[in-house]
Amino acid sequence: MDIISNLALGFSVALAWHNIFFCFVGVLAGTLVGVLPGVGPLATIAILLPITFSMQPDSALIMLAGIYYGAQYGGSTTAILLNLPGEASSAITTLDGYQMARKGRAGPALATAALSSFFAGTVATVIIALFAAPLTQVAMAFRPPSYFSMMVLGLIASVVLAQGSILKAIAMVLLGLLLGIIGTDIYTGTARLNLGTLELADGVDFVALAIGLFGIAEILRNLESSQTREVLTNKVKGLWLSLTDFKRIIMPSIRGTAIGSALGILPGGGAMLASFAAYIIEKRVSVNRAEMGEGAIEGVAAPESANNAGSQTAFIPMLTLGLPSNAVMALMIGAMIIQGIQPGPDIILKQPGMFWGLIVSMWIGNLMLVLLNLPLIGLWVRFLTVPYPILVVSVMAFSAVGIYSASGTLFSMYELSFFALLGYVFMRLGCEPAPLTLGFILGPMMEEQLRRSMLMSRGDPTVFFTEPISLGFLIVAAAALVLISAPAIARKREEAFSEE
Amino acid sequence: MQNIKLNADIAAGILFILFGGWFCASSLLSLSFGSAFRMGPGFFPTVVGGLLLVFGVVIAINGWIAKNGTVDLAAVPWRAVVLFPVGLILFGLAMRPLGMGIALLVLCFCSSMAVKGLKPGYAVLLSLAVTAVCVAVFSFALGLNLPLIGDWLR
Repeated sequence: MDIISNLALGFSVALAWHNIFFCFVGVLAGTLVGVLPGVGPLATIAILLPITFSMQPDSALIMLAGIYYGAQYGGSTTAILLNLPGEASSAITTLDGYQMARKGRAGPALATAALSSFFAGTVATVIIALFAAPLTQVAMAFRPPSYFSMMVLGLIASVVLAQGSILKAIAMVLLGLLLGIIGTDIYTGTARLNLGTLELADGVDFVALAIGLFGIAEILRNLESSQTREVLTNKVKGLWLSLTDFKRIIMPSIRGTAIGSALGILPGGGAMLASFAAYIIEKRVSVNRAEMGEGAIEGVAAPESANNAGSQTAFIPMLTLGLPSNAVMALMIGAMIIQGIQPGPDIILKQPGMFWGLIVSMWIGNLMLVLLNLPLIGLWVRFLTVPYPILVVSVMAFSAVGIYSASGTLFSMYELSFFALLGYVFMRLGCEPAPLTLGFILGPMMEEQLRRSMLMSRGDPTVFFTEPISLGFLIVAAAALVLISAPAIARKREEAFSEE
Repeated sequence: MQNIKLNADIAAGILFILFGGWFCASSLLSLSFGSAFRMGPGFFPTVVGGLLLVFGVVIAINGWIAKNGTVDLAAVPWRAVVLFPVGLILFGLAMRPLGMGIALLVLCFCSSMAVKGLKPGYAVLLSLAVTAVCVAVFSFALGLNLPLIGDWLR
């Protein structure tokens, strides 16, 4: 069997001692930032990007991925114990999780979150392993016009499924595309749009952009209100689930995993949307739906399995098509490019060790998280008492040294300051920075595919409609835009996002 | 400070118009546009910049009509908005002549002063501690080749 030998290769990579170590560092850092509100996985991955330059590509991606799914675990811990979602994706867990904790059932709630997440992580790993290779085969047959249209669809879909105004999100994508092509034109070697500086000849520094937009801008927003965090030190006892509890979480976990896996693959989907959808559906179909909202164990199992499944299947389009479905995936692609790996369908052939190693490491990381989280919950909660100024100063120092070590120029500090302020301004004006990052990553690729398509067709733009695959992508993209602009659906969408 | 309120959509629209206009105009003026068959380096930025400009106009007009979503300028953490870039640029300037230790101290002190209500003494202690941790992590644990002590002090 192909898949067995592939997974065996994955295990051989993921179980190398240095990769186990980096996987552990990743999930540990992820859990920590998941617990801390105000510092998310995006900011952490951005800040740690420069450190990964000196690492092997497989270790770098394994660690960064660990931060991402580790944060889902950490976020649920604070959601249950303190009614405080560490991450947006565990916001919905507070509804039933915190109620369970108030009734003295914090232990079972935490165990449910961990076990259903582990179940979802295992299933999602298998799904990635099953679907990645066939999807790659399909993508290999794409010609430039299809590639271009696929990227258009990816960007449109991420806009439609994102929060906030669609117009603003599209504008952010366009701005990202433009920022992405600053530098040197690859066809003619002409310097362009570089403000006459030499430093911009290689383009805008992706690390500075990511840290500015997600790390420092986020801190500026948090500094708007002086937060005082009260920490309740509940004693957590009795982590074990009774047999009844166990039976009650099986079906919700399976449903949550299914919903999460499906939504994770969609561009713009990912963990947050998955957890909300799973909770809403569970509220409709569960036998114990009357208890939902008052401490039902199903209300923890469903969203927790969904957010973990979603955060993992989001890797599928990134690994097989080179298409980032959310900002974290855009950062992962950025990390690959910096390592000299061109994302796209041939990764699986050129870097099979990295590809399968990353997939298997996710399962190992999930196992670590279960073993790590349950006994150490008391320790994690104590991290909430870290005063915010310490966090602010540490993030600033780490970001600056990280970027400087990679670029070695004063100019990168200008870039970092510019994107930090720009990111803050955009956040205040209700423009999400995530679509900009997707555009930034896809900008050079889109321009290249557009130019290739036009050379192929001798300047005839109808090629995008005569290529069947390309036409299909464009029809779906147009349909998504039309649907979301329809007044009835636009209202529903607003309701769905305002439930947060 | 007085409560100045800003229409978020109009402001965002203007920002997009400026960005789109700049990209569009500077590629039209200085880069060859080419043809659809053989696109020049200016083709993509001109078209996308133009699109961004159009979206900016639509967003601004929408904001003018709908008037929803205002931004309260009093909530902006002005100290951090000024001190963060100042700290970062001083860090970049100090790196070569003075070295990582002093550069980090300056940056840490600037960013801790950006937090309201922090006592200067505490800020100094915090800066020393974070600098020590950073030096330990980056210079010793990761072995990055950054000068601890700068050229002028050697």
